Amino acid sequence: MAGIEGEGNRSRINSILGVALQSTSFQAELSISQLVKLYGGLYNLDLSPKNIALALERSGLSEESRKRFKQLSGGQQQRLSLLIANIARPLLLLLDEPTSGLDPQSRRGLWSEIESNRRGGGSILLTTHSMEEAQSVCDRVAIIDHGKIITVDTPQNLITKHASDPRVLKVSRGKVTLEDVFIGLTGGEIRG
Amino acid sequence: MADTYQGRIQPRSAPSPIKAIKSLFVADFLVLTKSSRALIAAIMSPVYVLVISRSSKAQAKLGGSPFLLTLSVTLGLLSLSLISYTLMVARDRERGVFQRLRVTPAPTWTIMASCILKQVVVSEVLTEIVLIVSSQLLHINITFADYPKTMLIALLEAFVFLAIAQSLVGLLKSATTVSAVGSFLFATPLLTGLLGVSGVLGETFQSFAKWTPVGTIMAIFQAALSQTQWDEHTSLALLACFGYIVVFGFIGVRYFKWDAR
Repeated sequence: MAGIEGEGNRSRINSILGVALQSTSFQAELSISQLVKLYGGLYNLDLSPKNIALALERSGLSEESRKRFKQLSGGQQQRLSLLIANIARPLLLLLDEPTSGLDPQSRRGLWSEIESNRRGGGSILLTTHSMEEAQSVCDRVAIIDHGKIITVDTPQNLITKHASDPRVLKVSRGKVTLEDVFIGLTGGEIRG
Repeated sequence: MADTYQGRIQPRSAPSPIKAIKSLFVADFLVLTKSSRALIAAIMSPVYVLVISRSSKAQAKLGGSPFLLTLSVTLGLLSLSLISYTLMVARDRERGVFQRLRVTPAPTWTIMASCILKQVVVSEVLTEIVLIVSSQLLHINITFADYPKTMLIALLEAFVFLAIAQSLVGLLKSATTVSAVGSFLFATPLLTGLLGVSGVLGETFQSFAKWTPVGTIMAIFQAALSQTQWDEHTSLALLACFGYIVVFGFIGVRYFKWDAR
């Protein structure tokens, strides 16, 4: 990645990656400014209190700076997770279902932040089960089924390309959407 | 490194191990101060033993003041390792805190090194508190030279119990199971070591108990506090302690999983 061999270079690879995983968490007892300071240090950044305050303000978390992580709402926790993943302005940002379980307002807020990160340069790899999310924030979408990529294209091209596919038409309820394409190509059975 | 967050310069180097440990240690200590119940319990239990046994009659029946001092330190350090440390590690693992830390550029070993360093510092502070309280309540004449000697043995004791605690979190994943087994192990070696060494359970059990982690540590402690002479058994007990650290430490590192799933 970026000219760095993966084998034996975990620290160097991680220094150019920003990661927000769904199944991970922060230390619940720490305040969010303490968490930003901790992760800044782990990414080899010396963040001053002023810069921590500025970063929190940009993420709309300045009023919560003294709150402990466990006292934040789901949306605020996800915004903090995105802020920390992006703290060292990584070349590649990996986001694992960043809006899972959020209310519509928080989801839209997070999409705006992802958009703003994308405009700032670098690449974002986002995994999601929400086709609405994929359609809103992604330039290219890869549909993965049983660990294999079955199609890759822009959201609009995927719809156009598969609009007449009988499997897609069978599950469509009116105008074909990206979700219809996804269900049509991956099958209608419920997944674990 | 300069403060680069505001600029467009991207840091491309991982932090040095010292910088990573410093950041992690500060965070671990803040967590400890904010979840202090286990810590207070670990400090209060040896102090409680000293308070209830402060009369000279009780001291004589319980094996003398150096024995009580040894018992108090051992009780506190066992509680810190087998209850406080194991629970903290198992809980953070279940929450996914370790996995979140592992995707940063900090070397993975620094995450556990910081946890252990914090425990060692707390163990030394606890020992210092017990020494001061002992000198007041049990009227033990602790000389200036006794302090570094006792702190050194407390360090050895902390590593023995931390190695056992590490093997526990290495072999068990669920925080609930770790908590249950940790509580059981807290009582078992303590009782085996104490009752066995005292000889109330017979000679066979006594000769077994003096080679248990608690038995070996107590032998070294008592020799250092000049209650008994430093003899061949004490030297072998010291070797046994290093053996416990190596064996349990190996199991704890070899089988430790960062992820609870």
